[in-house]
Amino acid sequence: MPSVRESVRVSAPVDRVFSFLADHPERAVAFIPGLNRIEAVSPGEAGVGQTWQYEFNWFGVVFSGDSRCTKLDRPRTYQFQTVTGNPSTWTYSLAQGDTGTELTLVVDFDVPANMIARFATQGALEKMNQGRAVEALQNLKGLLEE
Amino acid sequence: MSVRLFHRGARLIFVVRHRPSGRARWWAPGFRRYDWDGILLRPLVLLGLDPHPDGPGSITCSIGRLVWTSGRCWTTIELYLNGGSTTKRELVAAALLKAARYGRNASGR
Repeated sequence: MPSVRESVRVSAPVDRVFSFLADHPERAVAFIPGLNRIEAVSPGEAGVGQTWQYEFNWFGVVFSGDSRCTKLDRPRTYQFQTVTGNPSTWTYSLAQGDTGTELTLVVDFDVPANMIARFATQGALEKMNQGRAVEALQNLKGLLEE
Repeated sequence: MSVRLFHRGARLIFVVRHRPSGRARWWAPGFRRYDWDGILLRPLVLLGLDPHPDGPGSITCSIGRLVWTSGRCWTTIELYLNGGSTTKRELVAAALLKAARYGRNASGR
């Protein structure tokens, strides 16, 4: 399964960054490019087993499906999987540094065959996903630091 | 799972004007009336911007103000964001535009 990995330093306490990521999955719409809708979050409180529905525009194709939180170790690790739609696992790892929070995002994802046909090579698609991961973390930094 | 070319139930929103300074104007054609209060308030709440409706067709938050005007077959939404950094204003404007296009209110629309 292909994977992208990106890190960023956020000038904010680790508890605040973790809370921003995990306490309301809907917030991800504000910083993940292409993620346009999250709804039906249940239960309202964050925890392993929390589920929600998503709609994600992946380079011109809209995938919708269900996600489930699979790991929540406050304030170090937050992980969820898209269990239907385009299968993927998103893992946020956080560590308190001297000047803020070291945040790492790892996304493991399946590449649908129709997308490979559209973009010619799997490598090109992985590069595009890498770009989106960079953008997501920079957006998150922008929302939390100002 | 479903795969489509368009988002189900998306609203048609045209960006008429967009400036990095935090000013923007969007135009939403259509006869249907939407609960813009509910649709636009939610992302501001999630981003911790302390929003509150301050009259019909208006929301004030910690970094500025949104105003919308509805006619018979259109709505104009205007953003006046002047707090925070340029980056933050851009991100908040983008989140509001996503909400205007794809967000649902409490009644599911």
